[in-house]
Amino acid sequence: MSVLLEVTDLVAGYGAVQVLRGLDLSVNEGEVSVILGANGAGKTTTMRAISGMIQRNGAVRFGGEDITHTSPNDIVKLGIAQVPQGRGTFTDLSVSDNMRAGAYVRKGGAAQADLDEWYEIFPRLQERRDQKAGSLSGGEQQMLAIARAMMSRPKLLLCDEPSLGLAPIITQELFAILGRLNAERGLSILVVEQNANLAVKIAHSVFVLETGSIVASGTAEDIAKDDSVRKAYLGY
Amino acid sequence: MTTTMQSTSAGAPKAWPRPIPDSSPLHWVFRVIGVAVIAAIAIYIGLNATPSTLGNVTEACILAIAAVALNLLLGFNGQISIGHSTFVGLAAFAAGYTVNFWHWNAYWSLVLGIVLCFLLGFALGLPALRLKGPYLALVTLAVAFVWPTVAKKFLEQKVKKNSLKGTHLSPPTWTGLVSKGKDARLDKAIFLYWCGIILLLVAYVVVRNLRKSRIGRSLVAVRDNETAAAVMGVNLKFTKTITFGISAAIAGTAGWLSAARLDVFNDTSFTILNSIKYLLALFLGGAATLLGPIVGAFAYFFLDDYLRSHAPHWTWLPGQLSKGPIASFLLGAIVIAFVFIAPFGLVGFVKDQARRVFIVTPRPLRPALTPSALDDERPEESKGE
Repeated sequence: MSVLLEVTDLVAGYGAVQVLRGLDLSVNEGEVSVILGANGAGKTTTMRAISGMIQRNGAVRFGGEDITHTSPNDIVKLGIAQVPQGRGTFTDLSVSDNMRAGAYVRKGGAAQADLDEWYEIFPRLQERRDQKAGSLSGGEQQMLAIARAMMSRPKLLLCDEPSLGLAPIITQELFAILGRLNAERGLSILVVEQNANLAVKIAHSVFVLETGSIVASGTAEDIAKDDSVRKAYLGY
Repeated sequence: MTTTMQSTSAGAPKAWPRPIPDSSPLHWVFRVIGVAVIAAIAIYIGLNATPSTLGNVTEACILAIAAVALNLLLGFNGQISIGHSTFVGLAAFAAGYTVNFWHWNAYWSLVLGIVLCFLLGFALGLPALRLKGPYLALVTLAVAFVWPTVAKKFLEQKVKKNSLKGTHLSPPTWTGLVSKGKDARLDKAIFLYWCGIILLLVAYVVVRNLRKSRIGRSLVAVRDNETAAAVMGVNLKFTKTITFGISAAIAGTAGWLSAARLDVFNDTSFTILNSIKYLLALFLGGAATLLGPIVGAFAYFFLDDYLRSHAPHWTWLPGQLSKGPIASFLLGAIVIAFVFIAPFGLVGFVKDQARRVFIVTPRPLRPALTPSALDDERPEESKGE
């Protein structure tokens, strides 16, 4: 199994505030990696650093290519899509325009075929395709965020706390979808989550993030067995 | 919209609001009638109006073009500018100077004005990359304040007078309009009127096509959620600066038209008050709608004009109100009342009212879609929301 995303010694922050202090993680091709961490551990910062939204030092390699100094829009073109924290809905655009905005980096006309494909997976979005996306429920907006990110045909999907503000039943459904995308399409996924139970179920490998660096990592089974991690993040 | 469709299919069809499928023949009939009515009004005015009415409509077109430009920047891209009077002024000065002193063809001065405004707008877009909301407003406010000083220096040093002459745009011969003789005044007014209508139409079409394109979606995406837009691959710097440039260039055409219409203008012709008029027109009509700035500009201009000429004679107004600058007082009061009645502008107000009568429903779903397994997993409760 080849490594798709490899982050080594990642240092990033906001101005004078250093949030990530030498973080290492990796996502294998066709696998799901999960980053667990409490509030303020640096989960969202990790996502922003990978997608190039903030200044970063260290090495980020994607598919063997060094993307440490690549701009965010070029990173999307290389095949990394992100579901931003809090869904990032373009509230005044219609659902279909949101989806088309997801295919922004693909200038060709292939978007319509993709649109139909994702409508088939998310029929709710098709029903509401001409409504303003801001009028969707939280769960629907999260589905939209995933479908929109997939419109760029990424190799790696970054999901920043997809369960945020959603009912447990919707969260379950959401992780079922992520699991399916991985199993059926071989999509590599990096999920940042606080809801460890659900996330670990679909994960191949798990990284535990504390105050800006990885304190434990391993396969999903290893982490589930590890007593200290289990107590802290799985709660049993 | 979905609820309407469900209730009609449930066997007890509601008479109103009546659903009209998007792009159905009936929908097209409404569209064609709308365009035809507007075109008929424009042609009727062009054929029958007096020079002063034509001049007023041209002036309203200038305001509308500037508001359309501002709408692209503020309405769709979310970047505020109180400095648009500067672009209008810059293009007007460029036209007035090149035509009168370098004897340029007036149409080339339009090209120059557009290019200059684009460059200045682009440059102004650079600080906008780091500033948002009130801070960006302050920068553009400063530009609007600096412009009259720059214009004054220019007049003193280059023109050596305290005003600049207009371009005296006269109708070309192929139009059949004359530039000399007793009909000259009317014919010139007719020509400028059509220039105004055509430039406004071009500005509208440019903004409309931009809005409906991939670029347009990215503009709104940047406004709605910058982070999400960036992770979709939208280049924020490029999008914001280019939008500023295009908006400024469109505002420049309004300036060129001003220079063609006015006999003389000077450093006080394009002040921050003009910028505020553009903003008012935009919000009266409805920001982030395609027709809003045009409707707003015409409503504002003719309301202002009506109040100015009639309000001072209204003797029924109580006490002190019947004396003094009553027109601007009433205009202000109407604008404030309007913000409560129609917070989304005239266009938003009309749309809301129209929705009680007709609802445009999306095109019907493609048939034979196999419901996905994921949908079946959905619990019933969440389906009804």
